[in-house]
Amino acid sequence: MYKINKRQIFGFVLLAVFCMVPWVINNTYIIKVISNAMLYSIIALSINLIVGFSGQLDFGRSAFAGLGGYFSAVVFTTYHVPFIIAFIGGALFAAFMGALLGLLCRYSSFDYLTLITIGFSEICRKVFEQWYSVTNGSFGFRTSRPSFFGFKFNSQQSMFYFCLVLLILCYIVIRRITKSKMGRGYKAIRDDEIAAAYSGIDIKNYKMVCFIIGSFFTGIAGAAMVHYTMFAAPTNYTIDESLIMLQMPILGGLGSLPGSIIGASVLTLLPEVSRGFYLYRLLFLGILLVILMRFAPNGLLGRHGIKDQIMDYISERRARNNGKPDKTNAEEKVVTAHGRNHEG
Amino acid sequence: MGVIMKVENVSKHFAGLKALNKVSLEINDDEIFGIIGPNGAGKTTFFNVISGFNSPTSGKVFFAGKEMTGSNITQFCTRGIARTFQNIRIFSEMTVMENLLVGMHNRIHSTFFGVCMNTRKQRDVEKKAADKAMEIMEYLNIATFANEYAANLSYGTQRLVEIGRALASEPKLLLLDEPSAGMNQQETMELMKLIQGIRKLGPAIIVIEHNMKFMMNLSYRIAVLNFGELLMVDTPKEVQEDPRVIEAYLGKGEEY
Ligand SMILES: Nc1ncnc2c1ncn2[C@@H]1O[C@H](COP(=O)(O)OP(=O)(O)O)[C@@H](O)[C@H]1O
Ligand SMILES: [Mg+2]
Repeated sequence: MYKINKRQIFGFVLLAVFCMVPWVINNTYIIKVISNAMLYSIIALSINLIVGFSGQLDFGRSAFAGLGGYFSAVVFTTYHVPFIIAFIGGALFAAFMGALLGLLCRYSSFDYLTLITIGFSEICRKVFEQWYSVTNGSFGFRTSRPSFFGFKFNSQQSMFYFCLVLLILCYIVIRRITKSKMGRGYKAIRDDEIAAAYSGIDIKNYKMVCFIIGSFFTGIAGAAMVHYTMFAAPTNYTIDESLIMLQMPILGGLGSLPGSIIGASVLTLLPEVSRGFYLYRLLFLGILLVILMRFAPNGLLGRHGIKDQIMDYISERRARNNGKPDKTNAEEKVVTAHGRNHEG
Repeated sequence: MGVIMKVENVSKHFAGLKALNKVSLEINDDEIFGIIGPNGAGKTTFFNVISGFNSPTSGKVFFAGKEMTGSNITQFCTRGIARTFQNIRIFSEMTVMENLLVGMHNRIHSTFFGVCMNTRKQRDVEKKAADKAMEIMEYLNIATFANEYAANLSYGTQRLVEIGRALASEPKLLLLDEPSAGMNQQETMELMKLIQGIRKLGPAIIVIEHNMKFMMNLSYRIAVLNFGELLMVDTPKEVQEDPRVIEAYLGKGEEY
């Protein structure tokens, strides 16, 4: 008994158009860039779950992408495990490492999560770089071409669809999680830990599980990236990289899942526009973040983010042009104007 | 009738300050129990100690027939305590509906598999929870705000959302910490009727209040705290006439 509404129709149309991209555009470079954006979208979604929903600041996401990627690549190429198992294995391995960190915080305190993730990401990078016999050190690790039940992913088109299906699956699952009791628990913890505890939420367990789930999705995207480029190098898993990943959901609006995809797309497409931009990307992203924090702390699609502000502006203009004040909107503006300052 | 909450010789010290000093009380499962006392008397601390926020320095806490001394908040909640706060604590970036659903947290039985697959059972569970939340919102007259973000609501409505969230957990004992703070005369009267109505729905209620008139009409029994000591426990009438209470509390200016 599914009711189909306007939004869903819009989504399906968008998807159908998107599916045709590899046919219409023959330029493999563009397809590659779009696929890359889709994989980064998964990472942005996973970060949104951890940072935007449960409110834990994590600076080491690239390490988990690296763990998923390296594990999957090594198991697949060196040990010839079937692709699908190696691929899922990478995600599970990232989740497992996330569980270790989560457990550490579970039995001490989540106050240090940010520092721990920074340290952890540095450790991981060093391991990727130094464990020469397994990871081939700073030369990077080359993987063989993935195949799936006898079907070889040897065209850009097939990889495009692989990324698309992966993104859709991850999006659906993450969306379901955020709409469920679990997701509400995360948001409650983010908004007020004491009230959350008084609602019977086991805060430490919830934070830990959220971290593990997030790590799974980061890991799966990391594995997909490595199989896509057939190459993994320690320089892809630095703190800089983590910061850029963190900016994606922030730009899109923490708490908004479509926002994460837009944020990831913007930040992966921009560096491709010009090489100069790539060199100065950290500078540019820093400035972007400062501007964002000043004018739209909730990003593009977050609550009262840029989209909401534009919508408010439009309806205000429209109301003024009609000559009579748009009452409902005027009221809304008043109540939203003084955001409550809650103590403690 | 039975005893829902029993505290025995409970003390709570903060670095030498005796916020609670050897307090013993029994609260029945069918009463509205009032706690009064001047600011800093230890009323909120009493709530904190009987709900697991602070563990008592000494003494014992029994709730619903089980010793709960030293249990944490989650354990108390699971056993059937819900509370509101002196300074409102709501989930401001969540809708009113979501706030109530969070209150229902332990009554919603989802599995991780069910959530990821969005099974029929999962959808039923969510639907039932939403229906029940709607029922509570209608009872509290806040159903029109169901999809409004809690941060956007007026102070009085936020108080009701907080009460709604507490009710959503179907508590055996409801703790209300100065629920009428910041309300005008008429809102206070409505609140009083509401609390009486909630009592009829099931939970025992402990209310902390400053407003004596409010307490006189509402409470079956009243405990008076002063500097962490329990001065007396009696009917509102007796309490109001007791010289010690007048000195400690009412003498400071009735009715504000
Ligand atoms: N966490 C704490 N640390 C130190 N002192 C506290 C703490 N909580 C309460 N107190 C002190 O305990 C006393 C009782 O406070 P409280 O229970 O809030 O009073 P009431 O609610 O009756 O106004 C006050 O003197 C207060 O300063
Ligand atoms: Mg108090």
